[in-house]
Amino acid sequence: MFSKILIANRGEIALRIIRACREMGIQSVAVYSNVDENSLHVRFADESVCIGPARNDKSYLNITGIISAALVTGADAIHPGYGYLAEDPGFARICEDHKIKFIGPSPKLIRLMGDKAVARATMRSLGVPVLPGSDGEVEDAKEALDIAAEIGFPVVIKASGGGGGKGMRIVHDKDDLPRAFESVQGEAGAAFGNPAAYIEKYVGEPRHIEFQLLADEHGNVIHLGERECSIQRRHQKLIEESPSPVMTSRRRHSLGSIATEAASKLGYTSAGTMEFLMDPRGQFYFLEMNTRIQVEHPVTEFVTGVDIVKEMIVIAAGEKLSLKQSDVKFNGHSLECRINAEHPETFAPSPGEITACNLPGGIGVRVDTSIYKDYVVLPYYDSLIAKVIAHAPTRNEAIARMERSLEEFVIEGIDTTIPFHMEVMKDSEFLAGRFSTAFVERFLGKARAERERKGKRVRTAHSA
Amino acid sequence: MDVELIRQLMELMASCHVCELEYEASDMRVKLRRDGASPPDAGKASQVALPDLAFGGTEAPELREGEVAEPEVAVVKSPIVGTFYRAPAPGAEPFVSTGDYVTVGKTLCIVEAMKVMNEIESDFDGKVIKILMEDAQPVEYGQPLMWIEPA
Repeated sequence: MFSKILIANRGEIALRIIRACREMGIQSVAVYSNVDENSLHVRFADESVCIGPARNDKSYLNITGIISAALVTGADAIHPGYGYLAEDPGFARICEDHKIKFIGPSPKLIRLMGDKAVARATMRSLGVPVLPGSDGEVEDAKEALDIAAEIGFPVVIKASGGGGGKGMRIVHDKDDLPRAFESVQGEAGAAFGNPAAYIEKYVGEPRHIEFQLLADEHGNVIHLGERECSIQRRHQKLIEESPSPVMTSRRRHSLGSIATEAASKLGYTSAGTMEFLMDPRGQFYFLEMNTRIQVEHPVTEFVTGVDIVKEMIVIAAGEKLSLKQSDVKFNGHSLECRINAEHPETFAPSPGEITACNLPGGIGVRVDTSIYKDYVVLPYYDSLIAKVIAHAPTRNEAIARMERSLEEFVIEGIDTTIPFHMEVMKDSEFLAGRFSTAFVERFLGKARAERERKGKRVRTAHSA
Repeated sequence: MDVELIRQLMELMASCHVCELEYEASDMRVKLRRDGASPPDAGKASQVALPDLAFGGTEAPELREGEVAEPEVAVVKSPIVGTFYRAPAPGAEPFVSTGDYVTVGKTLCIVEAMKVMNEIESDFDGKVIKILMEDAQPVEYGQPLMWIEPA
């Protein structure tokens, strides 16, 4: 087992990893930018090293600084968390070169899954269902037109180097296709340094459902069930839950088997997530694979009781998974609300000092956060400031528990998305579990109309 | 780090003529030493960026109180995380020593990161009045390395 792990991240996920290290008796090293001096990950790690100024490219993306910090502190492994360097195969390779264990899959697999066109082709060859579309990359607009004619419009053009909703365009008509194809290529070249693009059939109003996988170096691969992540705004997840309201145990078993078999054939190791689209007819299609810990991992931890971060560390140390598939039991229902430092209606970022803070608690509630009273939410970094996770025997009870947790959660001094989540918890479509990735847009439209109606009534009352 | 506490300890040392003091609490450890007999003005210490005592988690850098910097002292800070070296090679002459006069562009020390030797050059003309780090000590970003009294 490792004696010391450096955490190449900040915020709540850095703290989450430090907690796992402490419970496992492993020393932890925090790295931080000079504006993060008063962060909790710096406070609770055994050691801390300032690696650069505020700008991400000079600090949390500064590979030289992070490796150097690991070398001078004698860390024998690095956990990258999510975002930043978590899916950078070059970083994973450099860790290897310096005999520092990268806690994640091999650089080869990170690269393979990072190229979304190659990942799609690979999964298809392994028997995982994919949407109708191109076999890997598409050369030019002419080839794109041929494929689109075959699979039928609408289609979606995606950048191979993209993922997570970045670098994609929906095309409804063949006349628009050549221009859309070329603009995706151009944008992808500029944004990802890789102009390659591919085509898939476009699915309207899908659900986004993903499977959590764990695989060790001894060939053991298990899944921890699914997470429903359809509540998104501009491809950013806002609410996740497990199980999905539309999943049956038979379907979970069959999709879980497809996912674990594919991961096994790939020789995948560490934690990973296979994302699927579910079309309105209930068919599942592989979307992409994330080769890291996910923000929403706590809902799976609540329903399975498995500590995913600890398992990642165990796997990286070359040990066997602590459980088999038959040991995985699903218990109750769990929801997560991502609390962002953003205006609850406009989602405009709201950095600043937190002048009052009360965290929710009580039975079945977990809060993963790095905020405290007097903490200053910095404008340089992600707006996620807390995750509230609730667990209860049934979905309805979990929603009630989430609602009262959000009521208890007091943050003053900045805007947060807590009021947005409180409204969603009361929404009839949400309560019924009838929603798709189009939910948030529709919900916000309804809320806007409601505000305008109320505004009118007030004005009418004044004029009367 | 509690700068106020350190200031109080320094004042206590001066008033009781104590030369060396070690203080340890749950979250910090500090070792203070007074060099020479010059009566120190403890308040001036705050004008210099103090090394981060938490770094490394074990041995805290020393604050030598007798040589509190003048307000115009220039602090040479490490631009990167790495290992501090005073000389170009083991056993070689150090780039600079206390009391040396340096000019802009003169190499003061090396900070090694990922086996790359980064030469740290002086941004000032002046006299090296203090080298704050021992040879081969780890340093972090922004950590004070030397004090230079600009000419």
